[in-house]
Amino acid sequence: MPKTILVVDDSTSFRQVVGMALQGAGYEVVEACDGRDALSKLDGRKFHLIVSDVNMPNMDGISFAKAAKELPAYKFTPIVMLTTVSGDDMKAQGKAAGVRAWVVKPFQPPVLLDAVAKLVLP
Amino acid sequence: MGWNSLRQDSPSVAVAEAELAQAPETCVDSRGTRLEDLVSGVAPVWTRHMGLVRSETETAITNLSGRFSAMLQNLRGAANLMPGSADQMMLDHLRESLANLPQALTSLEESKVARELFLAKIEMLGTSVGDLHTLAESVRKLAAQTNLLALNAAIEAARSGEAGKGFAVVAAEVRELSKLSAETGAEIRRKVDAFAASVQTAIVTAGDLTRKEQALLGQAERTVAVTLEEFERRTKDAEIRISGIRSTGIEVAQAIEQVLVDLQFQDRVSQILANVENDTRRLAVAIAQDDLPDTAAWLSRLEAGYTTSEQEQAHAGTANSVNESSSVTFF
Repeated sequence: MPKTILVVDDSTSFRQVVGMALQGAGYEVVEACDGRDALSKLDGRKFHLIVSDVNMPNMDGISFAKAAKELPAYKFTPIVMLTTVSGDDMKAQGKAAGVRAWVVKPFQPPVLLDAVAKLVLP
Repeated sequence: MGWNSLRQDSPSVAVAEAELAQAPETCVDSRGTRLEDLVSGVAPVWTRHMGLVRSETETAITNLSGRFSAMLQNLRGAANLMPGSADQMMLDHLRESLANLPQALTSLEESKVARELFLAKIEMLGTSVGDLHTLAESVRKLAAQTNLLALNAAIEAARSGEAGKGFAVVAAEVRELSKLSAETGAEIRRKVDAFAASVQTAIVTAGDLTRKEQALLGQAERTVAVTLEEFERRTKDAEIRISGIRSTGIEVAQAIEQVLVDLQFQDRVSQILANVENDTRRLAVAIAQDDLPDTAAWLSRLEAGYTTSEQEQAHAGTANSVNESSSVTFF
Protein backbone atom coordinates (compact mmCIF):
# COMPACT_ATOMS: atom_id res chain seq x y z
CA MET A 1 0.00 0.00 0.00
CA PRO A 2 1.69 3.24 -1.12
CA LYS A 3 2.06 6.08 1.35
CA THR A 4 0.14 9.27 0.64
CA ILE A 5 1.65 12.75 0.70
CA LEU A 6 -0.25 16.04 0.58
CA VAL A 7 1.52 18.59 -1.63
CA VAL A 8 0.51 22.21 -1.06
CA ASP A 9 1.68 24.91 -3.49
CA ASP A 10 -0.06 27.70 -5.38
CA SER A 11 2.07 27.02 -8.48
CA THR A 12 0.54 24.31 -10.65
CA SER A 13 3.84 23.63 -12.38
CA PHE A 14 5.61 23.30 -9.05
CA ARG A 15 3.02 20.83 -7.79
CA GLN A 16 3.68 18.81 -10.96
CA VAL A 17 7.43 18.83 -10.33
CA VAL A 18 7.02 17.75 -6.71
CA GLY A 19 4.44 15.15 -7.76
CA MET A 20 6.82 13.78 -10.39
CA ALA A 21 9.57 13.34 -7.81
CA LEU A 22 7.34 11.74 -5.17
CA GLN A 23 5.39 9.48 -7.54
CA GLY A 24 8.67 8.33 -9.07
CA ALA A 25 9.64 7.12 -5.61
CA GLY A 26 6.36 5.24 -5.19
CA TYR A 27 4.34 7.73 -3.13
CA GLU A 28 0.76 8.70 -3.85
CA VAL A 29 0.22 12.43 -4.10
CA VAL A 30 -2.80 14.60 -3.26
CA GLU A 31 -2.52 18.23 -4.36
CA ALA A 32 -3.81 21.42 -2.76
CA CYS A 33 -3.40 24.94 -4.21
CA ASP A 34 -3.02 26.86 -0.93
CA GLY A 35 -3.27 26.52 2.84
CA ARG A 36 -7.04 26.82 2.92
CA ASP A 37 -7.50 24.19 0.22
CA ALA A 38 -5.05 21.93 2.05
CA LEU A 39 -6.90 22.34 5.33
CA SER A 40 -10.15 21.28 3.61
CA LYS A 41 -8.39 18.08 2.53
CA LEU A 42 -7.47 17.19 6.12
CA ASP A 43 -10.86 15.52 6.44
CA GLY A 44 -9.87 12.35 8.23
CA ARG A 45 -8.04 10.60 5.41
CA LYS A 46 -4.55 9.36 6.14
CA PHE A 47 -1.57 11.45 5.06
CA HIS A 48 1.86 10.08 5.87
CA LEU A 49 3.52 13.48 5.32
CA ILE A 50 2.75 17.00 4.11
CA VAL A 51 4.95 19.07 1.79
CA SER A 52 3.96 22.73 1.76
CA ASP A 53 5.05 26.04 0.26
CA VAL A 54 5.18 29.12 2.51
CA ASN A 55 4.03 32.05 0.39
CA MET A 56 0.56 31.27 -0.89
CA PRO A 57 -2.70 33.20 -1.29
CA ASN A 58 -5.65 32.71 1.08
CA MET A 59 -3.61 30.91 3.74
CA ASP A 60 0.20 30.80 3.92
CA GLY A 61 2.18 27.72 4.80
CA ILE A 62 3.05 28.71 8.37
CA SER A 63 -0.61 29.41 9.22
CA PHE A 64 -1.59 26.13 7.58
CA ALA A 65 1.02 24.22 9.62
CA LYS A 66 -0.30 25.76 12.84
CA ALA A 67 -3.90 24.93 11.89
CA ALA A 68 -3.00 21.36 10.89
CA LYS A 69 -1.22 20.74 14.19
CA GLU A 70 -4.39 21.72 16.04
CA LEU A 71 -6.30 18.89 14.37
CA PRO A 72 -5.96 15.76 16.54
CA ALA A 73 -5.84 13.41 13.53
CA TYR A 74 -2.91 15.32 12.01
CA LYS A 75 -1.07 16.41 15.14
CA PHE A 76 1.80 14.02 14.42
CA THR A 77 1.78 14.24 10.61
CA PRO A 78 5.25 15.51 9.64
CA ILE A 79 5.28 18.77 7.67
CA VAL A 80 8.12 19.67 5.32
CA MET A 81 8.29 23.24 4.04
CA LEU A 82 9.44 23.56 0.44
CA THR A 83 9.92 27.24 -0.31
CA THR A 84 12.07 29.93 -1.85
CA VAL A 85 12.18 31.57 1.57
CA SER A 86 15.49 30.91 3.25
CA GLY A 87 15.61 33.47 6.05
CA ASP A 88 16.34 32.24 9.56
CA ASP A 89 13.43 34.18 11.06
CA MET A 90 10.95 32.38 8.81
CA LYS A 91 12.58 29.06 9.57
CA ALA A 92 12.18 29.85 13.26
CA GLN A 93 8.49 30.58 12.67
CA GLY A 94 8.18 27.28 10.85
CA LYS A 95 9.85 25.40 13.67
CA ALA A 96 7.53 27.07 16.18
CA ALA A 97 4.55 26.01 14.03
CA GLY A 98 5.63 22.37 14.22
CA VAL A 99 7.40 22.08 10.86
CA ARG A 100 9.93 19.20 10.85
CA ALA A 101 12.13 20.17 7.89
CA TRP A 102 12.76 23.17 5.68
CA VAL A 103 13.87 22.64 2.07
CA VAL A 104 14.81 25.63 -0.07
CA LYS A 105 13.68 25.82 -3.69
CA PRO A 106 14.79 25.02 -6.29
CA PHE A 107 15.17 21.49 -5.00
CA GLN A 108 16.90 18.43 -6.39
CA PRO A 109 14.53 15.44 -6.17
CA PRO A 110 17.00 13.20 -4.27
CA VAL A 111 17.35 15.86 -1.57
CA LEU A 112 13.59 16.16 -1.08
CA LEU A 113 13.14 12.39 -1.22
CA ASP A 114 15.83 11.92 1.39
CA ALA A 115 14.09 14.36 3.75
CA VAL A 116 10.72 12.70 3.06
CA ALA A 117 12.11 9.22 3.67
CA LYS A 118 13.54 10.33 7.01
CA LEU A 119 10.27 11.81 8.25
CA VAL A 120 7.43 9.91 6.57
CA LEU A 121 5.11 8.03 8.93
CA PRO A 122 5.21 4.23 8.87
CA MET B 1 6.51 37.59 -24.51
CA GLY B 2 10.11 38.66 -23.68
CA TRP B 3 11.36 41.66 -21.73
CA ASN B 4 12.60 43.49 -24.83
CA SER B 5 9.24 43.29 -26.54
CA LEU B 6 7.59 44.50 -23.36
CA ARG B 7 9.85 47.54 -23.35
CA GLN B 8 9.09 48.22 -26.99
CA ASP B 9 5.40 48.02 -26.24
CA SER B 10 5.70 50.95 -23.86
CA PRO B 11 6.64 54.00 -26.01
CA SER B 12 5.04 56.30 -23.46
CA VAL B 13 7.87 55.51 -21.04
CA ALA B 14 10.60 56.56 -23.46
CA VAL B 15 8.73 59.70 -24.45
CA ALA B 16 8.22 60.65 -20.82
CA GLU B 17 11.87 60.04 -19.99
CA ALA B 18 12.95 62.26 -22.91
CA GLU B 19 10.59 65.02 -21.83
CA LEU B 20 11.91 64.85 -18.28
CA ALA B 21 15.51 65.16 -19.44
CA GLN B 22 14.72 68.25 -21.48
CA ALA B 23 12.80 70.06 -18.73
CA PRO B 24 14.50 73.24 -17.33
CA GLU B 25 16.13 72.61 -13.94
CA THR B 26 14.71 75.78 -12.47
CA CYS B 27 11.14 74.59 -12.84
CA VAL B 28 11.36 72.24 -9.86
CA ASP B 29 7.67 72.34 -8.96
CA SER B 30 6.66 71.93 -12.55
CA ARG B 31 9.12 69.06 -12.98
CA GLY B 32 7.90 67.38 -9.79
CA THR B 33 4.33 67.63 -10.96
CA ARG B 34 5.23 66.22 -14.32
CA LEU B 35 7.15 63.39 -12.68
CA GLU B 36 4.13 62.58 -10.53
CA ASP B 37 1.93 62.61 -13.61
CA LEU B 38 4.40 60.42 -15.43
CA VAL B 39 4.64 57.83 -12.66
CA SER B 40 0.86 57.88 -12.09
CA GLY B 41 0.35 57.19 -15.75
CA VAL B 42 3.14 54.74 -16.33
CA ALA B 43 3.21 52.74 -13.10
CA PRO B 44 -0.15 51.02 -13.69
CA VAL B 45 1.07 50.07 -17.19
CA TRP B 46 4.27 48.62 -15.72
CA THR B 47 2.20 46.76 -13.17
CA ARG B 48 -0.06 45.32 -15.82
CA HIS B 49 2.89 44.30 -17.97
CA MET B 50 4.61 42.62 -15.07
CA GLY B 51 1.39 40.84 -14.25
CA LEU B 52 1.18 39.79 -17.89
CA VAL B 53 4.73 38.43 -17.78
CA ARG B 54 3.99 36.51 -14.60
CA SER B 55 0.75 35.14 -15.95
CA GLU B 56 2.14 34.12 -19.35
CA THR B 57 5.24 32.57 -17.81
CA GLU B 58 3.15 30.67 -15.29
CA THR B 59 0.81 29.39 -18.02
CA ALA B 60 3.64 28.40 -20.35
CA ILE B 61 5.68 26.68 -17.63
CA THR B 62 2.59 24.92 -16.29
CA ASN B 63 1.84 23.60 -19.77
CA LEU B 64 5.46 22.62 -20.32
CA SER B 65 5.83 20.85 -17.00
CA GLY B 66 2.46 19.15 -17.54
CA ARG B 67 3.58 17.78 -20.88
CA PHE B 68 6.95 16.73 -19.57
CA SER B 69 5.32 15.07 -16.56
CA ALA B 70 3.01 13.14 -18.90
CA MET B 71 5.98 12.13 -21.06
CA LEU B 72 7.85 10.98 -17.97
CA GLN B 73 4.88 8.98 -16.75
CA ASN B 74 4.48 7.35 -20.17
CA LEU B 75 8.18 6.53 -20.30
CA ARG B 76 8.11 4.99 -16.85
CA GLY B 77 4.98 3.01 -17.69
CA ALA B 78 5.82 1.90 -21.23
CA ALA B 79 9.45 1.01 -20.80
CA ASN B 80 8.97 -0.53 -17.39
CA LEU B 81 12.57 0.32 -17.00
CA MET B 82 13.46 -1.93 -14.10
CA PRO B 83 15.38 -5.19 -14.54
CA GLY B 84 13.10 -8.23 -14.59
CA SER B 85 10.67 -6.53 -16.92
CA ALA B 86 8.02 -8.48 -18.85
CA ASP B 87 10.29 -8.65 -21.92
CA GLN B 88 13.18 -10.08 -19.93
CA MET B 89 10.91 -12.52 -18.11
CA MET B 90 9.49 -13.76 -21.42
CA LEU B 91 12.99 -14.35 -22.80
CA ASP B 92 13.99 -16.15 -19.61
CA HIS B 93 10.91 -18.41 -19.83
CA LEU B 94 11.64 -19.23 -23.46
CA ARG B 95 15.27 -19.98 -22.67
CA GLU B 96 14.23 -22.22 -19.80
CA SER B 97 11.73 -24.09 -21.98
CA LEU B 98 14.24 -24.68 -24.74
CA ALA B 99 16.85 -25.80 -22.22
CA ASN B 100 14.47 -28.69 -21.42
CA LEU B 101 14.70 -30.04 -25.00
CA PRO B 102 18.09 -31.78 -24.62
CA GLN B 103 16.70 -33.33 -21.44
CA ALA B 104 13.86 -34.84 -23.51
CA LEU B 105 16.43 -36.25 -25.94
CA THR B 106 18.33 -37.77 -23.03
CA SER B 107 15.15 -39.58 -22.03
CA LEU B 108 14.86 -40.95 -25.57
CA GLU B 109 18.49 -42.06 -25.42
CA GLU B 110 17.85 -43.89 -22.16
CA SER B 111 14.81 -45.58 -23.74
CA LYS B 112 16.97 -46.68 -26.68
CA VAL B 113 19.56 -48.24 -24.37
CA ALA B 114 16.78 -50.20 -22.60
CA ARG B 115 15.58 -51.54 -25.96
CA GLU B 116 19.11 -52.58 -26.91
CA LEU B 117 19.33 -54.60 -23.69
CA PHE B 118 16.03 -56.26 -24.60
CA LEU B 119 17.40 -57.06 -28.06
CA ALA B 120 20.48 -58.70 -26.51
CA LYS B 121 18.15 -60.95 -24.48
CA ILE B 122 16.35 -61.98 -27.67
CA GLU B 123 19.69 -62.81 -29.28
CA MET B 124 20.48 -65.04 -26.26
CA LEU B 125 17.13 -66.73 -26.93
CA GLY B 126 18.41 -67.47 -30.45
CA THR B 127 21.37 -69.32 -28.93
CA SER B 128 18.97 -71.40 -26.81
CA VAL B 129 17.06 -72.28 -29.97
CA GLY B 130 20.30 -73.77 -31.35
CA ASP B 131 20.57 -75.97 -28.24
CA LEU B 132 16.98 -77.17 -28.77
CA HIS B 133 17.86 -78.01 -32.35
CA THR B 134 20.78 -80.17 -31.14
CA LEU B 135 18.50 -81.95 -28.66
CA ALA B 136 15.97 -82.73 -31.46
CA GLU B 137 18.81 -84.18 -33.56
CA SER B 138 19.84 -86.38 -30.61
CA VAL B 139 16.27 -87.69 -30.33
CA ARG B 140 16.28 -88.57 -34.08
CA LYS B 141 19.62 -90.44 -33.75
CA LEU B 142 18.43 -92.32 -30.66
CA ALA B 143 15.26 -93.38 -32.52
CA ALA B 144 17.33 -94.63 -35.51
CA GLN B 145 19.67 -96.63 -33.25
CA THR B 146 16.69 -98.05 -31.30
CA ASN B 147 15.07 -99.09 -34.62
CA LEU B 148 18.30 -100.81 -35.70
CA LEU B 149 18.56 -102.54 -32.35
CA ALA B 150 14.90 -103.73 -32.56
CA LEU B 151 15.52 -104.99 -36.10
CA ASN B 152 18.50 -107.10 -34.88
CA ALA B 153 16.37 -108.37 -31.97
CA ALA B 154 13.61 -109.48 -34.46
CA ILE B 155 16.21 -111.36 -36.53
CA GLU B 156 17.57 -113.10 -33.48
CA ALA B 157 13.99 -113.97 -32.37
CA ALA B 158 13.26 -115.56 -35.76
CA ARG B 159 16.41 -117.71 -35.46
CA SER B 160 15.29 -118.96 -32.07
CA GLY B 161 12.13 -120.47 -33.64
CA GLU B 162 9.10 -121.22 -31.47
CA ALA B 163 10.98 -120.01 -28.33
CA GLY B 164 11.67 -116.60 -29.78
CA LYS B 165 8.06 -115.84 -30.86
CA GLY B 166 7.26 -113.81 -27.75
CA PHE B 167 10.49 -111.85 -28.03
CA ALA B 168 9.70 -111.16 -31.73
CA VAL B 169 6.45 -109.43 -30.62
CA VAL B 170 8.43 -107.24 -28.15
CA ALA B 171 11.00 -106.40 -30.83
CA ALA B 172 8.19 -105.33 -33.20
CA GLU B 173 6.71 -103.07 -30.52
CA VAL B 174 10.16 -101.51 -29.84
CA ARG B 175 10.56 -100.84 -33.58
CA GLU B 176 7.14 -99.18 -33.62
CA LEU B 177 8.16 -97.02 -30.64
CA SER B 178 11.45 -96.04 -32.25
CA LYS B 179 9.55 -95.05 -35.37
CA LEU B 180 7.22 -92.86 -33.31
CA SER B 181 10.29 -91.37 -31.52
CA ALA B 182 11.88 -90.52 -34.88
CA GLU B 183 8.67 -88.80 -36.05
CA THR B 184 8.44 -86.87 -32.75
CA GLY B 185 12.09 -85.85 -33.06
CA ALA B 186 11.49 -84.65 -36.63
CA GLU B 187 8.40 -82.70 -35.47
CA ILE B 188 10.41 -81.08 -32.65
CA ARG B 189 13.09 -80.10 -35.13
CA ARG B 190 10.54 -78.51 -37.50
CA LYS B 191 8.98 -76.53 -34.63
CA VAL B 192 12.39 -75.44 -33.35
CA ASP B 193 13.43 -74.39 -36.87
CA ALA B 194 10.25 -72.35 -37.26
CA PHE B 195 10.79 -70.75 -33.84
CA ALA B 196 14.44 -70.03 -34.68
CA ALA B 197 13.38 -68.38 -37.94
CA SER B 198 10.88 -66.16 -36.06
CA VAL B 199 13.51 -65.18 -33.49
CA GLN B 200 15.98 -64.37 -36.25
CA THR B 201 13.39 -62.21 -38.02
CA ALA B 202 12.67 -60.43 -34.73
CA ILE B 203 16.38 -59.82 -34.21
CA VAL B 204 16.83 -58.40 -37.72
CA THR B 205 13.72 -56.20 -37.41
CA ALA B 206 14.79 -54.91 -33.99
CA GLY B 207 18.26 -54.17 -35.34
CA ASP B 208 16.77 -52.21 -38.25
CA LEU B 209 14.52 -50.27 -35.86
CA THR B 210 17.43 -49.47 -33.57
CA ARG B 211 19.51 -48.16 -36.46
CA LYS B 212 16.62 -46.02 -37.74
CA GLU B 213 15.96 -44.78 -34.22
CA GLN B 214 19.61 -43.92 -33.79
CA ALA B 215 19.57 -41.97 -37.05
CA LEU B 216 16.40 -40.09 -36.04
CA LEU B 217 17.79 -39.37 -32.61
CA GLY B 218 21.00 -38.00 -34.11
CA GLN B 219 18.98 -35.84 -36.48
CA ALA B 220 16.80 -34.59 -33.62
CA GLU B 221 19.88 -33.76 -31.56
CA ARG B 222 21.38 -31.80 -34.43
CA THR B 223 18.08 -29.95 -35.04
CA VAL B 224 17.76 -29.11 -31.35
CA ALA B 225 21.37 -27.92 -31.20
CA VAL B 226 20.89 -25.68 -34.26
CA THR B 227 17.57 -24.37 -32.90
CA LEU B 228 19.09 -23.64 -29.51
CA GLU B 229 22.05 -21.90 -31.08
CA GLU B 230 19.78 -19.80 -33.29
CA PHE B 231 17.49 -18.98 -30.38
CA GLU B 232 20.44 -18.01 -28.21
CA ARG B 233 21.78 -15.73 -30.94
CA ARG B 234 18.39 -14.08 -31.50
CA THR B 235 17.81 -13.80 -27.77
CA LYS B 236 21.14 -12.06 -27.30
CA ASP B 237 20.28 -9.66 -30.12
CA ALA B 238 16.90 -9.00 -28.52
CA GLU B 239 18.49 -8.50 -25.12
CA ILE B 240 21.00 -6.04 -26.57
CA ARG B 241 18.18 -4.15 -28.27
CA ILE B 242 16.00 -4.18 -25.15
CA SER B 243 18.95 -3.06 -23.06
CA GLY B 244 19.64 -0.24 -25.53
CA ILE B 245 16.00 0.87 -25.46
CA ARG B 246 15.99 0.64 -21.68
CA SER B 247 19.17 2.72 -21.38
CA THR B 248 17.84 5.32 -23.78
CA GLY B 249 14.55 5.37 -21.91
CA ILE B 250 16.34 5.90 -18.62
CA GLU B 251 18.48 8.66 -20.11
CA VAL B 252 15.42 10.40 -21.59
CA ALA B 253 13.52 10.02 -18.31
CA GLN B 254 16.46 11.48 -16.38
CA ALA B 255 16.73 14.35 -18.87
CA ILE B 256 13.01 15.07 -18.50
CA GLU B 257 13.31 14.94 -14.72
CA GLN B 258 16.12 17.48 -14.93
CA VAL B 259 14.04 19.68 -17.25
CA LEU B 260 11.21 19.60 -14.71
CA VAL B 261 13.66 20.50 -11.95
CA ASP B 262 15.04 23.34 -14.06
CA LEU B 263 11.54 24.67 -14.67
CA GLN B 264 11.38 25.54 -10.99
CA PHE B 265 12.94 28.88 -11.93
CA GLN B 266 9.42 30.04 -12.77
CA ASP B 267 8.35 29.96 -9.12
CA ARG B 268 11.24 32.16 -8.05
CA VAL B 269 10.81 34.53 -11.03
CA SER B 270 7.11 34.78 -10.28
CA GLN B 271 7.76 35.75 -6.69
CA ILE B 272 10.39 38.31 -7.66
CA LEU B 273 8.05 39.83 -10.27
CA ALA B 274 5.13 39.84 -7.86
CA ASN B 275 7.21 41.78 -5.38
CA VAL B 276 8.21 44.41 -7.98
CA GLU B 277 4.61 44.52 -9.24
CA ASN B 278 3.27 45.19 -5.76
CA ASP B 279 5.90 47.85 -5.14
CA THR B 280 5.15 49.61 -8.41
CA ARG B 281 1.46 49.58 -7.55
CA ARG B 282 2.28 50.95 -4.11
CA LEU B 283 4.33 53.74 -5.71
CA ALA B 284 1.45 54.74 -7.97
CA VAL B 285 -0.94 54.83 -5.01
CA ALA B 286 1.50 56.84 -2.90
CA ILE B 287 1.92 59.42 -5.65
CA ALA B 288 -1.80 59.62 -6.27
CA GLN B 289 -2.32 60.26 -2.56
CA ASP B 290 0.64 62.64 -2.42
CA ASP B 291 2.07 60.51 0.37
CA LEU B 292 5.64 59.81 -0.64
CA PRO B 293 7.83 58.37 2.15
CA ASP B 294 11.57 58.88 2.12
CA THR B 295 13.70 56.60 -0.03
CA ALA B 296 15.30 54.67 2.86
CA ALA B 297 11.91 53.82 4.36
CA TRP B 298 10.61 52.78 0.95
CA LEU B 299 13.60 50.52 0.29
CA SER B 300 13.36 49.02 3.74
CA ARG B 301 9.73 48.13 3.19
CA LEU B 302 10.57 46.74 -0.25
CA GLU B 303 13.30 44.57 1.26
CA ALA B 304 10.97 43.23 3.92
CA GLY B 305 8.90 41.60 1.20
CA TYR B 306 11.77 39.59 -0.26
CA THR B 307 11.49 35.84 -0.16
CA THR B 308 14.62 34.74 -2.02
CA SER B 309 18.31 35.25 -1.44
CA GLU B 310 18.64 36.46 -5.03
CA GLN B 311 16.34 39.40 -4.21
CA GLU B 312 18.53 40.32 -1.25
CA GLN B 313 21.62 40.19 -3.45
CA ALA B 314 20.00 42.18 -6.25
CA HIS B 315 18.84 44.75 -3.72
CA ALA B 316 22.38 45.12 -2.38
CA GLY B 317 23.71 45.34 -5.92
CA THR B 318 25.85 42.21 -5.65
CA ALA B 319 25.90 40.33 -8.89
CA ASN B 320 25.93 36.61 -9.62
CA SER B 321 23.38 35.48 -7.14
CA VAL B 322 24.00 32.08 -5.67
CA ASN B 323 20.77 30.43 -4.69
CA GLU B 324 20.51 27.97 -1.87
CA SER B 325 19.38 25.11 -4.02
CA SER B 326 18.17 22.10 -2.13
CA SER B 327 19.52 23.10 1.26
CA VAL B 328 17.68 21.19 3.99
CA THR B 329 17.21 22.13 7.61
CA PHE B 330 15.75 19.57 9.99
CA PHE B 331 14.09 20.73 13.22
